[in-house]
Amino acid sequence: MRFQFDAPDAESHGLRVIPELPDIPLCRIEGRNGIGKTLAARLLELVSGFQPYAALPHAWSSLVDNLGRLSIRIDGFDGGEVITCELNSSTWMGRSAAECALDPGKVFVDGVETSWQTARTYFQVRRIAGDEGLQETLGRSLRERSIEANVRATDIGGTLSKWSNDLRILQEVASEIDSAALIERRVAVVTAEKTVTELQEVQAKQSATVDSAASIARNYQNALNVLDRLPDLVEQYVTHRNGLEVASASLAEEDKRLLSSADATASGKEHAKELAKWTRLLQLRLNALDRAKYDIRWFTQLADLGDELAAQVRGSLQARLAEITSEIELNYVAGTLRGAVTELTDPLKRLGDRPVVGQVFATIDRPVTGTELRAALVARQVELTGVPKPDQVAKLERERELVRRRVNAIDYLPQLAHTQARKQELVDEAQTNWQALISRDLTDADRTAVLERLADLRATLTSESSESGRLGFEIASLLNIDPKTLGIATTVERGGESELPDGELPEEGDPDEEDADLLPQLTLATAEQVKALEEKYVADLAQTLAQDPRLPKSPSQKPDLPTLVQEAFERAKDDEVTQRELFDQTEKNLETADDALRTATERLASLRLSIRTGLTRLTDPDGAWSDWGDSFAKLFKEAPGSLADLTQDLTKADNAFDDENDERELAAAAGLSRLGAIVHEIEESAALVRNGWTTVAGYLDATSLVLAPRLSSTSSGGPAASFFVSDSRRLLQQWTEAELATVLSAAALRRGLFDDASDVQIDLDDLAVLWRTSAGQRRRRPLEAFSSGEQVFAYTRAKLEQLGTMKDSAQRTAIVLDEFGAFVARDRFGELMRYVEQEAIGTITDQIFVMLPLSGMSAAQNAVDEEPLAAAQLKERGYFAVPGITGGR
Amino acid sequence: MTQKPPESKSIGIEDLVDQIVALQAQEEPPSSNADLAGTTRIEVTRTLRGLEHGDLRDLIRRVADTEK
Repeated sequence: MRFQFDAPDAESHGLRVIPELPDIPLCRIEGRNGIGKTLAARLLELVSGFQPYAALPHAWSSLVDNLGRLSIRIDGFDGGEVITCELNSSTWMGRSAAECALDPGKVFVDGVETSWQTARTYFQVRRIAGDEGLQETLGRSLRERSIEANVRATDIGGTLSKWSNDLRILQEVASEIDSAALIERRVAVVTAEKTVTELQEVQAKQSATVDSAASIARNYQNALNVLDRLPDLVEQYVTHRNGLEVASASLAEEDKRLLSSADATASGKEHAKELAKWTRLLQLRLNALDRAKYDIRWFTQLADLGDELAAQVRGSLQARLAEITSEIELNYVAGTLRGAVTELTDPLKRLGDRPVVGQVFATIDRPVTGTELRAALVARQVELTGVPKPDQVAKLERERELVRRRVNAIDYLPQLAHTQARKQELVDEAQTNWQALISRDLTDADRTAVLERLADLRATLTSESSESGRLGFEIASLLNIDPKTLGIATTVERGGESELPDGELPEEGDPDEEDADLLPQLTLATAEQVKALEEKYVADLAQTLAQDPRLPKSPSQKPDLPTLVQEAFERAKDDEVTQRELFDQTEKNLETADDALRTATERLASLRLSIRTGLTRLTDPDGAWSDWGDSFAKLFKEAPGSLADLTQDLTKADNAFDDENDERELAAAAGLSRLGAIVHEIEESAALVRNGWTTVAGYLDATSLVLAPRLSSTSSGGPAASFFVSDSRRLLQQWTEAELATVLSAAALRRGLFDDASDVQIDLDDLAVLWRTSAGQRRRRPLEAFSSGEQVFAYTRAKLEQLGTMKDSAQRTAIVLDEFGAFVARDRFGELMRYVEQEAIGTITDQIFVMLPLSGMSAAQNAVDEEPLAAAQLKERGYFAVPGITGGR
Repeated sequence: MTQKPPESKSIGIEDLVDQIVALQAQEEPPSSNADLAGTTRIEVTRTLRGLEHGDLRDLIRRVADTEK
């Protein structure tokens, strides 16, 4: 066969190919380095379907970049066919080297384009490198497998990137969704709610306890005040009440004496009877007048007010009432706040645990739920309970009460004034009648003396009654009891019960009947009654103290009552402080629990939102996965119906995951969780497979460098073989040794190098070959030993013999023996050429090209001297190709 | 020299990679769902070797179908 090359683009890119390999059975080609001998041989291997650059990725990449167009014309076939290969390296870009070897371009037989498979039945060419020993051949073999593995790793990496892009949506859909987490978050919310409720209940009880403790302390404080003032008040009361009794008795005695005197001196019994009557009526009417005066004694200065003036005073009092209320609110903010808090708390308490308390009631710097608001208000209520009422406020409150009474009284003023006037008239009448009756039997002097004495007695009676009433008020106020208990009440205080209904005067008639209405309605408590009241108070207090668990039960020396009350007060205050501290601690716990509840609620809501969003995106009609939703139905097996139905069902506005036991929600979470797990596992597995290929490629690359260090310039730069550890390394080494053993077990190599052994093995640990001779003897030889001249020759012969099968697949075959300069140096070239001429040509192959470097002028001169044709070729093309071999070599 | 397994000569590079992948999988932290991880690895390996249809959706469906 003759091979003619035309590469019009190559030279401009620094690449050269020799133009021709002639149709000479045994052809010797000598030329300078760099003229493209080896490239020509490799291109012929490429068009034969064999990739010579499999272990040389960088050289292949350079060839792809620089070769450009290439035409190879092949003729010399038995049938005279002419085969033309038309290649262009730009079409190899982006394709694998192996793929390019299978289909490098276009091929024509006699001008008709045909398949490479057909074309390759006409010719086959291989190249044997003379500088490649057994060890390097093994290394090159591993390098080719390494590159193959690297290509697979890169391909899988590309697939993985594409998958990752496609899986991104599913990852987002299923991100962090976990049915177990859903259950856990549901439980967390329920638990947190329970904790909050329990703490609220505890807090409510503690609030009542704090109130109770504060109340007890206040009561003891009041008791101290009572004990301080009551005895003196009672003593005064007793004095004046007794004075009243004495005055009353003296007056009665005087009246009796007067009546007796009248009876004794009077002309008749009728007169005595009349005097007795008017004496009694006078006293009754005086009493009634006193009552009336008593009723209105605190506004006597208004006695003669008309309606207009009363209205003015009433308006003034109402204005004062408003001022007082405002002043109280200003000076006792705690009280005002407490009222406001109660107004807010009560409705919240009534709401109980209904869902509305979870709603936001206010937004300050963050939303505040009803639960939080209620807890905060209760806490504030307790705080406010302990704020003491200022004296000024207490005074104002008393004034307010007084003004209210005055306003009330003014409403009754006309009626009372009328009543008093009527009572005065009745007294005057009784006085006139009585004086007329006693004057009949007395001298003027006696009458004056009697009247003065009686006036004094009546003044004393009024004074003592008034003072007793005042003291009774104070005692009632101190003991916080109704003044009526002590017989003290005004007409107004008796609920407006008027002695004169509708302000009308009674009909004149029987004085007895008329005066029955004028009798005092209440009688001042006696001194004994008041003293009994004091004793009862003390007894009750003593009993309370005895039952107070804060006080020692059996004191060795019983202290006096005030001391005991003081101690009780202090202990009650301590108890109040303790209870308040407990309340405050619960308050803190509640805040923590509220935070936990809020966090748990937010986490659950977040997960629920993810589930809803995930389902929606998975089934979005415009989304990438909507058509596939039902293919994943098995993942959502717990939910009946289609995935679209489940999505629609769970994303309804009125049914969006508000049921903590919703099985559909759980099914959705479980399905999405499984989908997320599958997506995760797919990426993990794909990465594992890619890493597997990378590992294999790395190990084979590293091992190829151990065997053939010259390949380092084309290495992928992976780790050394020793880097691979443990089980993976053992597996890789086993596989590699088996792979290399297969290479070494080729019949030609076994015959040429290993005594025709049936089984050849390699030991990568020691870089040695092991085999057993046909006689059964074990042989072990380091790979290095096969680089000796004799072994290299034997190896080259073996490789030639290996290529013998090539003849079975093609009409014409050729082998290029390249880089055999070392053989020349070792003086074995002649022996090799003899073998080729005598045993290889015609047997192993049809043609052999022996390529040799043109090493210096002496060799060139030899060629010129020996063969004129060669000299001409050398001059014209930089190399020569001549038949046969020279004897000198 | 390491002990050569009897079947080593018949193992292709794809099988070698499978064995390496299996070893690497063992070195990974234990999965919470070992069955799913195993099934997915088999399906992914078969898909990447071209033994199954390479469409990602088919791959997910096949794995989903093995879910118990």
